Amino acid sequence: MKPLTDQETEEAAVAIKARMVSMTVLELLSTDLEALDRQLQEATAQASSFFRNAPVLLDFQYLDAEPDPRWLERASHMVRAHHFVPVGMASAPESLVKGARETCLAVWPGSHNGRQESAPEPEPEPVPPARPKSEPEPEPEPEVNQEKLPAQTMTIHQPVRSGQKVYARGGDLLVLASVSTGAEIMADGHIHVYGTLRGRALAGALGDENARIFCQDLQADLVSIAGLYTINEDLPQDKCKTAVQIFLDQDQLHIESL
Amino acid sequence: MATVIVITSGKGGVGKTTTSAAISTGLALCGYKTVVIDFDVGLRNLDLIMGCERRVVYDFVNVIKQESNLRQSLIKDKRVDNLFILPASQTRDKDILDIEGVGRVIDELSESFDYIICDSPAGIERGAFMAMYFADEAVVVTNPEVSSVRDSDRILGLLASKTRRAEQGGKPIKEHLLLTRYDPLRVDKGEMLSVEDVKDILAIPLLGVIPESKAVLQASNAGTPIILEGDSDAGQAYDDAVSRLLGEERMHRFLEVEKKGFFSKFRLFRS
Repeated sequence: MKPLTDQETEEAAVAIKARMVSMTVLELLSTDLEALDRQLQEATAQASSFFRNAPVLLDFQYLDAEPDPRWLERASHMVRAHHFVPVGMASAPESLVKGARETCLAVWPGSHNGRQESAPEPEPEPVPPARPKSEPEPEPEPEVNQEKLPAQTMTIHQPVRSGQKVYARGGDLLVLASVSTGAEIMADGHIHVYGTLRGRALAGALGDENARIFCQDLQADLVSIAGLYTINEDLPQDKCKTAVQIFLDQDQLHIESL
Repeated sequence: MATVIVITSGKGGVGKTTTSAAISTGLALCGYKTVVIDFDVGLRNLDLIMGCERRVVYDFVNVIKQESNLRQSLIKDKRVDNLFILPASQTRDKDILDIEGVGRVIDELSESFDYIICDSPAGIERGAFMAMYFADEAVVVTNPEVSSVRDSDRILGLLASKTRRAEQGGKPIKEHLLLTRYDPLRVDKGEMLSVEDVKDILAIPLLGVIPESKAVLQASNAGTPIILEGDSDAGQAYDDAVSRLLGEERMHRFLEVEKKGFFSKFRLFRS
């Protein structure tokens, strides 16, 4: 699961590839820098380790004003001060595109991630989970592809052991082995476990209520979908140790046999 | 190049040191030049189990700190050829262990030994981490009870992520499960997890099952590795485990309650 460092890639000094990655987006809703500072402070205070050094995309699609490059310079300085790493701008007004080069920000054309349908939310990540430690995820890189592709699925082949955390950011999680009690698996999308699920499983970690958990053998410590959870003691006895799917319907967790 | 095997468990008191003594002695008996290192700095015990506590002059920490060389510090076993012990220091603590120092000692031992057995302390702190860091193989010692199994599971997670092999992305560490203090009678009564339960949870190959035996404590007190007590079932089980470690296939024994039948009364057909 490590990035390739084998002989064959070692000989070539560089390889240019496209890769889809999910990234935190800061939607700018106002040019008021003080308010921005305050609200970033609040957001990061809740989950400082989660956001620390996270690459972010500054999204201007909801901003009506046309700020000048000096504002951008101060804004990105402020974002850095909150331990984000701004890597680029999306839907940036003309006035900023030129200044972008000096602030070392890449420019993404237009709005492309289909966020318009939902009302803009100033507070990102309603359920801030901790970063996974034991299972490295792909290095965050700027999105290259502008088409909307299906989110990436993370596949785990080894058992997830007690004390390990796995987080499939922005996609589904597929575990082809067992998840031990004391382990935690999370995904922004669905979770599939083809061994025994004994640990905690949290699907829809960012609040997706359509996320589901599928498992071959339900013995979980805790299952959660979009923040709604139930613990082992409250699992229906007839569903324990059987293959089930778990989903949300009208703010209720449902556990159904497969 | 030596094979480095860590004997680890997470939980204390499950039989790591007993196992380290038995396996290293077993390997040496098979003709492999073997050294066993006690990583439990500050709480050393291996020297007692190996019966060489009065012969310790320099220890592992002295070698790491380059206050002595290996030749001065290694203790040669008096009973078994090819077997050497590198004791822990009793007067320091585990923070003194550092990756460079430990790595240097392991490298140096690698040149002249076939097997390096690292007896890990309990816990998941520095001592345990240092003991596992350079391992090629790991023997995870587990008792058939839930807390020990969970700790072993935790250790298996660390073996897969916090070791040199994991960091360098090479071949993963070869993992072995050794179930100790197994009592078939209590398993039958439902008081203990069965071999199958533990195998199901930990999902690694079974190296051996060591039955609960009074002989183990007696051997420890006498400073004799249990594997040298060929009459005891625990000693035989360790002998099987060492053979399996060397690639031999052997049936697992001592898993069932011994039947008190006609023949066994007359001690005719005891295995």
